[in-house]
Amino acid sequence: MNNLSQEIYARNYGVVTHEEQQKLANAKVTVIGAGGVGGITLISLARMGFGNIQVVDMDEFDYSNINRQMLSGISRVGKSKAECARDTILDINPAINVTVRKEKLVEANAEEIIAGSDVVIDGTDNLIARVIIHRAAQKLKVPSVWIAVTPPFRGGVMTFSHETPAYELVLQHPSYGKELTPEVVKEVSAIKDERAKVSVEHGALADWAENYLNNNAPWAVICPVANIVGICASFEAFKVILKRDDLKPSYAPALVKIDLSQINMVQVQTPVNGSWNNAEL
Amino acid sequence: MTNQLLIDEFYSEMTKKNIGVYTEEEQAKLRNSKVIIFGLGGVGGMESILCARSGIGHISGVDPDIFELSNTNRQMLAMTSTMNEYKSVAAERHLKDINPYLSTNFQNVRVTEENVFELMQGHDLVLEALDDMPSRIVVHRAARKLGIPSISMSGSPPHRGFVSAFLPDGISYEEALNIQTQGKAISDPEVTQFVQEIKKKRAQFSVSKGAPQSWADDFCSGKAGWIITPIRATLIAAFSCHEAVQILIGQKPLAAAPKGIYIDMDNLTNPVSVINPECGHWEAYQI
Repeated sequence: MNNLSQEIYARNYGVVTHEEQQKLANAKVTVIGAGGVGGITLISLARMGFGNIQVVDMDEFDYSNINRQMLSGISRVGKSKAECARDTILDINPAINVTVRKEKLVEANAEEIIAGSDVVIDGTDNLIARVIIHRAAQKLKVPSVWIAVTPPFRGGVMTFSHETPAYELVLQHPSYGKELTPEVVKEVSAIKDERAKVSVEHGALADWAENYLNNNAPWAVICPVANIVGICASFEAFKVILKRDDLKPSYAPALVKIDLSQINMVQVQTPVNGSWNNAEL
Repeated sequence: MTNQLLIDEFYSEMTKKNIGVYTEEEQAKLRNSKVIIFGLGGVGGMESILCARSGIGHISGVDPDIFELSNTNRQMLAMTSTMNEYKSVAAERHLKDINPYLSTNFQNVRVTEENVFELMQGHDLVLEALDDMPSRIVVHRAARKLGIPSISMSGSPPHRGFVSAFLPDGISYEEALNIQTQGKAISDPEVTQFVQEIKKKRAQFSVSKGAPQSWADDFCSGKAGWIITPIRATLIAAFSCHEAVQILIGQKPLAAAPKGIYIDMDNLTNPVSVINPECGHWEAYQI
């Protein structure tokens, strides 16, 4: 690491050793989605000292991103999220090697995008993209971090690897082992509507859920929750790279469960039967 | 009128994804709220950003420092492009890019017993994000006197943090943390001595939670700084912001003092929970 990096990361020493800081500098992480979760995750990874960061996002910033997305701002409305991520990361530390891909992650490019990464973080909000990411990552033996942000105050983070059960089994998706045909895509996408309905039991506004189901309201996400989830996701990546015996990632089906309305605001839970109903997360 | 319409339209577009978690009425309360943040470093800088994004209408910030390179590992506003700039100046500019219609008052001054009332008066809530105990006491004493809720925080290595909400009719900050300074002036040498000992004790206590002994020894002899990572600072800020918003919209905070949100990311089963101290108060060096 150069002198600038040594100064930037000076206050990390004590939590990480010099050897671990170098491990982070050598690591390559891919973050898919630079929005509410991906944005803070990218910033956190850069500030912790990850040396090689790939950002994948085809979208541009919009006014409705501003309530929670750390990379968004008035001056960035209409600009590429992935390019803005690069600008911010390089402003944090110009020595970080940033790769930008302004494309949609689909089955055709997933493996090529993920290959060569030491860890991938799924910061998308699309249930189909998630299936594609975690399938490809598991096949390539790249650990992958899953996230969820759910109204009103809930979230989840979980890490998959080639040694954990498959993503679609852990989250009870009907797509396991199947081709992503239009029918299967429809079935998987329907889970999000179920999540909206269940949210009402947890305190989300019933009007909102109804409007969401009728396509009259966007997914509700507040600032503290999105950013807590993103920080926890970056911490999973940190643990994956450090490989400490006493600081293991939360490997699926163990789930970092977040609910700011509960006394146990963040806790790690393992499901009794080995899998989670995604509608309830 | 056209201008006001534009402002309303922007606000509603910016905050539309909050609706469903907050009601329109609660969001309007946030728009009419005024908060002041003391300290714009790792925790306070992030708090200012989160408050602005949540749609709080007025934010004041107080910090006398300029950005240094070693802030970069955890301070959201510390960038190559903001080095050597006043934190208060960089923060105000950043917040105006989040919401150009945000009302702001950022000052590069150090909070003291002399200026605290003038700085704090007129706000609905105080977020305290200071790194020294005497200033923290000054802020929470003043908030209590003015009848304003104040959110306190502390952070210790490796990944521990603490957030608690002080309400004007609840327990005081010094009682809740068992700090033997009640009724004494901050300038009293006994108080200075006492609070400096707390930080050294906190460093040594952190060793039992996983921080290296060599660091704690270096810290106590003034050779090393307090260890801080982005994980901890950002989590403390996010939980503090959540408590602040709950209070401002008229909901009960989860961690009304002496209850506190206790964060320990090295705890692999229950990293964050609200804890009620068994004997009615905390020990400042343990959190």
